[in-house]
Amino acid sequence: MKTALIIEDNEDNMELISFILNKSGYETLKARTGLDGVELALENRPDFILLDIQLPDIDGYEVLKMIRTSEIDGSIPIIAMTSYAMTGDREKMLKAGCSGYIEKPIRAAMVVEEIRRIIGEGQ
Amino acid sequence: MKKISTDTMTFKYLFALGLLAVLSIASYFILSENIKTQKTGAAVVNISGRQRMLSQRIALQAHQLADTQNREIQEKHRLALSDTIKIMEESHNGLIKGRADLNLPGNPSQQVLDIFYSPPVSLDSRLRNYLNEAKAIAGDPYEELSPDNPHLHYLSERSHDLLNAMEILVTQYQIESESDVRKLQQLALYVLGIALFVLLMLALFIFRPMVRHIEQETDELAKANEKLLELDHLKSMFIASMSHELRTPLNSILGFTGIILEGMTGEINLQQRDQLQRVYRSARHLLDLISDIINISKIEAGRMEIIIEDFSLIKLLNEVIDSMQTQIKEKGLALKVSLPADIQMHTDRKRLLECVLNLLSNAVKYTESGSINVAAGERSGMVEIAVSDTGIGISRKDLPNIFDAFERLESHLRIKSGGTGLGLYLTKKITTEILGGIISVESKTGRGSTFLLKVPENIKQTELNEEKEESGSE
Repeated sequence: MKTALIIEDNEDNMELISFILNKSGYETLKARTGLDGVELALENRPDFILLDIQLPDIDGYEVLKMIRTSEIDGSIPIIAMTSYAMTGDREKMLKAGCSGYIEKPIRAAMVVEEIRRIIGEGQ
Repeated sequence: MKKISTDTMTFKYLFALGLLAVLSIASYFILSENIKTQKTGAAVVNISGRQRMLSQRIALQAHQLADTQNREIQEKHRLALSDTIKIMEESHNGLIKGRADLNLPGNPSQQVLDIFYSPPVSLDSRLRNYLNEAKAIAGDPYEELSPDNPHLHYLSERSHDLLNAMEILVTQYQIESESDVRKLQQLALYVLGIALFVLLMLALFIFRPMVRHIEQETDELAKANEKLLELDHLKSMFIASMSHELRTPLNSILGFTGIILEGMTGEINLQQRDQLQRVYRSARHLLDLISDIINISKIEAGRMEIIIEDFSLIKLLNEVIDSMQTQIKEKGLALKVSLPADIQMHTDRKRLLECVLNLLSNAVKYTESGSINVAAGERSGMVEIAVSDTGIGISRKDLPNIFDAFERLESHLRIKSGGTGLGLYLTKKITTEILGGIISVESKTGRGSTFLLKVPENIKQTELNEEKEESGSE
């Protein structure tokens, strides 16, 4: 089973995404702040990361940079979760080294499709 | 601080100006009066002085007439004497009654009248007697002309007294003339003094308080402006945080209803599905409303981020058409597309896409049967995109307000149509304020509508800079 790290501060969104991922056959790790997320990512080396942009301590962009610069073996795919209306966020994240993005509001089919596109089929 | 009434100030100011105008006119009249007085004064003194000389000349000419025996020379002296007498007499009358050609004013003062008519001087009778004696000589026949002539004696005896009497008159004239001029100069000084006083009052009671007033107002305005900038900043922050705060719970509602509708949480019955779909649609509607409102506020605050890209118009239009394809098929509408050879655009791609998508989705929304037509063309740097439909159309009454906020048509389709009521309003705002273009509509009830979008292929550099400056203050 592949493991996903979800970095998201909103409890409802966390519940929603982890539910969708669990249902789709992934294990989930949960971080509520950016720094917790970085720590969990480095400790557990998840197969991919779902990253919210607006976080209480450091924003998603910072988290992305920290993981990208501290990583030792290869790059963990990171999928940003952006709001449709927030123009600029998506482009900024992709430029900074994000592997993909999911638009909020989240739809289960869309999430699974994007994950499969990025990390491939096999579970 | 004391509040200043500008009305009172204006009144005071006009009053002071009026006073200064009156004073200026007065000083002009005083000056011209002064010049006239000086002129007549000089004339009176000159002519009265000349009378002395004339009296002496009469005495001299009378002697010459009496002394010579040669008749021819006598005639000459007679004529000269008569001339002199005439001049002196006329001058005397002029001094008393006035004569314009000699600048003599007449109306002598009481002192002058006394000199003329009262003893001891009695200049008038003295002078007339003297002239009468002289006239007598001038009229005497040859035989009587001799140094012993009694008239000649009279002239010799009286000429000295007459001279003294006339001297008194000249002196009196001089005194009067000088005093008149002095009076006028004094009057001019008074007028000048009053004018200076008025100016001083103007400075103290109008200029100074007004300057203070203006300084105070400017200060207040600067403070108010600062406050406004602060408020504007707060408003932007508010919009930004609203964008997050309002969306987060909605995303959660949409997300959870979504997974239930997709059957991820187990089977649901038809009624539950229908009701959950209503929840989902309402939440979606609310989210669209929020997005529209935030976009409108951003445009109005000049804080809409503009991202200029180079892209193909055909690709953009195909992208729009593709995304509406399913809905068009579901409704059984025909779609006609006529596109030109490709046009390269240099403008905000996402905003243009939003506008065209909105027009097309409106066309689909308000058309139950028939066809949708998308056409594009290019004319002198402007791209024209027309979206027509055979739908319900817009009535003449509604047409002028079609681009206003929340201006949706009264129609049976309204309830079904969804939409925020902000779509066309936002489309027009984006077209005119972001893309620098124009949007227009032609429509008839029951005959469908044609929306025409005209935007520059290449957004102008100047417009871009302005926008950047505005958004740069964020």
